[in-house]
Amino acid sequence: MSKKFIAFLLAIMVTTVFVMTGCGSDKKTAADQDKNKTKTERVYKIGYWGGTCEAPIFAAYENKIAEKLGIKVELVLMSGRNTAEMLSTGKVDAVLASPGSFKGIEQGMDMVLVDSAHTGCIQASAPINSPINSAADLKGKRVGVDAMGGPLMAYLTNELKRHGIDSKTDVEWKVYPPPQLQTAMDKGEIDCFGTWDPFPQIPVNEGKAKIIWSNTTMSPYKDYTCCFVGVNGKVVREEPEVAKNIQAFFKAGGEFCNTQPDEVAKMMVEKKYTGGTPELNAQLIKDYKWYSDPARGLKDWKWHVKIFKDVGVFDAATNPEELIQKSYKILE
Amino acid sequence: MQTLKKQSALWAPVVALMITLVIHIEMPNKQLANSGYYTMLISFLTFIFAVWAISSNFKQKWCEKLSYYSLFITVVILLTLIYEIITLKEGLLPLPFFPSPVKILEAYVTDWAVLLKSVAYSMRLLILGYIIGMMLGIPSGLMLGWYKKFGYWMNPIVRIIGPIPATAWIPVILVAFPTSFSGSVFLIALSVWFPVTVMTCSGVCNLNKSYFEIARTLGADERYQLLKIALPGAAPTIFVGMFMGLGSAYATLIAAEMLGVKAGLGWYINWAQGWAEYYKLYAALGISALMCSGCTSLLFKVRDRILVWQKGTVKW
Repeated sequence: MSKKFIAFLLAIMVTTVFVMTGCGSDKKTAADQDKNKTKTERVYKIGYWGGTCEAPIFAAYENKIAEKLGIKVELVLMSGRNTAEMLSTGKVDAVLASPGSFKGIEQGMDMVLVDSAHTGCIQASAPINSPINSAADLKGKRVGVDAMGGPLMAYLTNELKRHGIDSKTDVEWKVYPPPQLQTAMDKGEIDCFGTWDPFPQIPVNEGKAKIIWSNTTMSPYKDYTCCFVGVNGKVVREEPEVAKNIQAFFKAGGEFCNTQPDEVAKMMVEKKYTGGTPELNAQLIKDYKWYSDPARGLKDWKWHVKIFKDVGVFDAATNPEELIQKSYKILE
Repeated sequence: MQTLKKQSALWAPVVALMITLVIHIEMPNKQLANSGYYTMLISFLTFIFAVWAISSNFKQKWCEKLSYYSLFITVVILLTLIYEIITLKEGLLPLPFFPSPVKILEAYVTDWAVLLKSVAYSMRLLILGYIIGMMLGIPSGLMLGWYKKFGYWMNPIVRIIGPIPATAWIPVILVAFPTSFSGSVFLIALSVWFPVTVMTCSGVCNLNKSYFEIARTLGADERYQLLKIALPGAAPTIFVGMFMGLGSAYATLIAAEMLGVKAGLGWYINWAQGWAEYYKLYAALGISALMCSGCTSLLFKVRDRILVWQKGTVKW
């Protein structure tokens, strides 16, 4: 091959790579792109992954809260895994931040929590005839979880500590994708499992299992916010008005969950925002407490940071005050 | 003693490493990381390459090897240095997506026990899955290429099953297989089976018809034709399938280790991703790449031995 031909081939490869990455960066962030247009055209991108506990998003959207606030809202479906990435890289402006994102925040994701959303949504269940009735019975058992060091594992480790059980040596943790956890339990590969709703609730409703731990009903977890309103850090810093509107959007959605849970559940299933039946979703929505209280949110976030650090999910090197300062903001 | 030009090739890596060491120690860090381990690593590497460069002046074989790889090694060292500058020293790339090499090294140092265990668990899965995939793939590919009737049923199956992504199998596998371990092995075997089958079949079908005609005239029965002509004749293409299967197996590891394993590279990667600890992710990927590269070299050695008859005739 002549030198010219080789150079030509290389040039094609390099150009292709640049065109691909260049086309991507045209999109930039939702904020940048819309900032160039007039204020009324700023489209708010709210991300969701299809969980029951994101009900405020769907309730607010379907009840035209966006129009009442004078904003334009677009819902963006994400895969559950990359909510934190989508948010911190600006592809969406806000999400319902579940404890699954907490570790990402600690690692430097640019997400700022601005308000509380609701309590409870993580539970653990065991077969109905199992000798396991609570975390105290978990010594030497196999526990199925959705992720290593995920929220359920963090909370359960905290519970185990209270009962003097070492989560590293006395319990075996096995990871499965959430929909497969019940199957694994049915086959006897694990003795119990825990993850966010609705998966632990489904076998309970079928009469095959019982709840052995829940942050919806058990102390002290039931008194602390579980999920928060998470906003892209750049938006909080550079577009405070947008952040405030997002907070109001979520707050209004939460109110619908408190006052009309059955209607919200029915709508969510009909419009295919989430899976399961309307009855299951309504049951869960009624169990959680929905409220918007930034000050309480801050207090509850501090509690979470302490717990996650105590059980070793957060790095020992992390400074709690710095983390809280960076990741929580009460909007004026 | 070697010429000046040769010496510069021999000492280039050492020079690059020393530049790295100086910049690493002198430039202030803009990100949080434990620089101590990296300093130790670079110092150690400098020592190794210096010893190699010195002894190259006395041993011809070592001299050849070093001067051959010197350019590549030096470029890699300098690129790593540039990357370290734009991440750790200048903080130009956003964390946690672009960790510095120093931080990635930290993952190896703090998690070496977990990583070692994970390598062992993954190797077990990979070896089992690969062997089973091959043992199923080569015969099915041979029969696909040889018997039309077999192809009538198998062709659609191969085409439909092959492209299904591993993650889509997960719910089915967990229910259908007695243990999740056998399910994981199945996933790997499946990812190896597809390229091996397709390539074996292709290899058989592309053989020159005259070989078989001549053999038949000389009295060869079907078994002879299949085992002594088709199989060896298709061997080069079969090896292509085996290489592809190797890459497939590693890629499927992440999905296969979603099914309740206790350790493994895919399990570790899933964990690191969930925690947004990308430096651990890259550390695990580095190990995975090394392992895959090692297996590929091993497979090449096997191929060179078995296909030694080809050496003079094809481009090799």
